[in-house]
Formats: sequence, structure tokens, C-alpha cells
Amino acid sequence: MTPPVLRVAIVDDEAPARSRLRDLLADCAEQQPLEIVGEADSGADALELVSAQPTDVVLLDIRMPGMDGIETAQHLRKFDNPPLVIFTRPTMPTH
Amino acid sequence: MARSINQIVRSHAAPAASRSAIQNAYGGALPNFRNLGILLRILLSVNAVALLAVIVKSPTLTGLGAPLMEVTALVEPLLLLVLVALYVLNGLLARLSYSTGAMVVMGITLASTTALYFSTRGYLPIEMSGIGRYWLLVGLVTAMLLCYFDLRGRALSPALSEARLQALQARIRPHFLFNSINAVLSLIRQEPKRAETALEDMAELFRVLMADNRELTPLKREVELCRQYLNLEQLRLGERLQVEWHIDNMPADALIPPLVLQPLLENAVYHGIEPRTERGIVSINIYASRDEVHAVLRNPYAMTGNHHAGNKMALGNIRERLQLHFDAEASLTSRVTDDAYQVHIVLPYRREKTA
Repeated sequence: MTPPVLRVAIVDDEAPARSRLRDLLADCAEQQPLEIVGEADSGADALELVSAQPTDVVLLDIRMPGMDGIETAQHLRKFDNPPLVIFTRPTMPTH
Repeated sequence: MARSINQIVRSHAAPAASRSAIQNAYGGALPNFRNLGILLRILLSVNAVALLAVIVKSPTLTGLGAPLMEVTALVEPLLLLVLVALYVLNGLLARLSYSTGAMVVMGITLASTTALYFSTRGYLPIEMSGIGRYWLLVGLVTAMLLCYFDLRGRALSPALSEARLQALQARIRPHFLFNSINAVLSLIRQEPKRAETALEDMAELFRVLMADNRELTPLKREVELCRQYLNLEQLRLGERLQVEWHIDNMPADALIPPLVLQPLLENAVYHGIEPRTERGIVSINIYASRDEVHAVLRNPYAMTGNHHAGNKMALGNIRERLQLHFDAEASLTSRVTDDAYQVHIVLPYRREKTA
């Protein structure tokens, strides 16, 4: 029996970070069938993406300009089928 | 291969030229007589001595006026004459050894005293004593001031503030290490060539960050470092980070404390570009004006509020290092204009000594 395909969205304002997450997800694909439903580079785009595409997991960057990850997660929680949110970046200590 | 890299690193780490330059940063011992701060210190202390003398001589406070006028009439012309002479001869004085320089300064003041004494005798409605008394007075005050500037130079010399500089250095922490490593990680599979370049930039940055940064470095090296830093940030931020360089008139050989511009650019990116969704321009404008080096950094400014403590600390750190190296001759000012944040650094133009 194969596990169901997990639908994943990637949200990060930085392109290299998104590409890195894609690579890592590709590595996981053997153990866990995955489908990347889309990518977004801002909180607002993320909300649009998740409301248009059924999504199980959102990989969400905390530090983003405009709507940050925390605020985006709060909006996502109010969705009918709220996806599981995984924050992808620890907050950097301020210097 | 590994050995040759090691050698390159070592030969870069201790360039003989910049080492001798730092010694000369104090070696002059005579103050820079074209520096406003120095001129002001001389003006104020001489006038303070004059005032003190009048107060000591005068029996009542109300009777201070007339003797004060008399002393002022004698002191100010001499003071101005001497300051102008020192200002003009500053370049020459800086080339002399300290003891010769000090004697020349003494000679200038005594010669000015003599010249003024004989040219004004009889014209001033003041009873004047023999010239010997004035020589003694002027000589003592000059010696006093020379001692003061010498002590001050020693107290502020990089040799003695090394520990202080070291402590300040240790506080600069590259917060972008984490970000850069992730940016490079993301490049490794798709664009190994770019990942390689990025790692080279990082290696160079960290070599400088870990080096002994108490010595002055040529401006062109700092600019190169800034470019490498911005390249790394551009990997991550892409189009959002736009950089404008205005360095055509940059004095590439000017000596500056290392890591003065790079942390400011780090601030500019961190506070000015990262919080924005749209693209923003960081502009760097470096030019020489007379014997000063100016660096003006601008970045967009968004009212976020929560990052300001870190920003102030970085500015305070850099300001303190500038002061330790250049005293009143260097300055760092920051201001907010419309929607931009601007930092302006002024440094004395010190050149790398050849040979």
C-alpha cells in the first residue's frame, strides 16, 4: 500500500530558498510521494495559491516583507481545510 | 594546491605597506594643524590661559574688563599669525621628525612674537615690557600645548587602543552567514559554477572578517569586499536588490579602517531592502574632496521600527573605530531624508606609503 500523495506549497520571498526546498522535497519523494502544487514569493500570493489549490502542507518562510509568515499562517488557519504549516526558517537573531 | 592558497592568504594578511602606515598614523605626533578640531583646541586653550592670567592679576572681578582687553589685543593677533603660519606649513611639518617639528613650531611662535613685538611697538596704547618676558610666556604656553598634543596623540594612538579595537571588532557578526550558506546550497545542484563563485566570495569575506583588522586598509580593498558581499546578497534577493556604484572619482589608495563600509551595506540591505516587497536601490558614492575622503551610502527607508537598536549599535561601533583611528578628523553622520536613509562618512585622506 502506498501512502497518499502529499500536496505541498512552497512560500519564500527568496528564490534560492524555494529552489533549495524543491531539491530537498525531491530527495524525500522516494519515501513519501509528493506533489508541489505551487510556489509563492509573498504571504498574499500564498493565500491565493492555497485557496485555489487543495494543499496539505505549506512550507512557509517566517521572515518575509509585507505579510510575514506568522500573519500568513494565521490567515491559513481560518481556511476550511487548513493545511499543515511548517515554518522553514528559524528567526535570525537580530545583530 | 592547498599550500599555494595558504601562501596567498598569508601574504595578503600582512601587507608591509599598511603595517608601516598604521605606525605613521601616530608617528607624526605633531597634530594636523589643518584640522578644525585641533585649531579650536589651540584657540580655546590659549584664550583660557590668557583669561586665567588676567583673573590672577586682577584684584576684583568687576575690574577684569580693561586688563582683559589689553591681553586680548596682544594675544589674538599673535595667535592668528601663528595659526595661519602653522596651517600653511602643515605639510612641511608633517614630513619632519617629531623633535625637529616641535622645534620648528617653537621657532615659528617665537619668530611671530618677535615680529609682532617690533611691528606694533608704539602703535598700541599699552605699556609693553621687554621682549624677553613675552618670549618666556609664549615659549611656555607653546611647550605646554605641544606636550598636551603629544600626550593626547599617545592616548589615542592605535597602539594603545589595540585592545579597544579588538573588542569592537569582535562585535561585528556577519548575520548573513546563515543566509549565504543557504543561498549557496540552493545553487549547488542547478548552477554549480555560480555556487563556486559564491563560495569564493564567502571565503574572501570571512578571511577579512577573521583577520586582524586593527590596521588600515586601502579603500579599493574595502570596496572589493563590499562588491563580494553584495554579490552574495544579490544571489538571495535577486532583482529586489539594486546596487548603484558612484566610485569613478574614488581615491583608491586612501587608507581606511577595514570593515567600515561593509557593515553599513549590511545594514542597508537588512533594513532597507529585505523588508520591502518591491525593488530598492542601495547607492554607494565615494569621492575625494581636498584632503578628505567622503563615502555616502543611501538606501530606501521603511518605517519598521523594530530593527533600530541593532542599527544604532553598528553605527556606534563604526563611529568609535573611526575616532580611535582618526580622532576629530573623521565623522559619521546619518539622517533620514524623505524615504531614504543616508550615512555619510568623512575621513582624512591618508595615502598608502610606498617603499
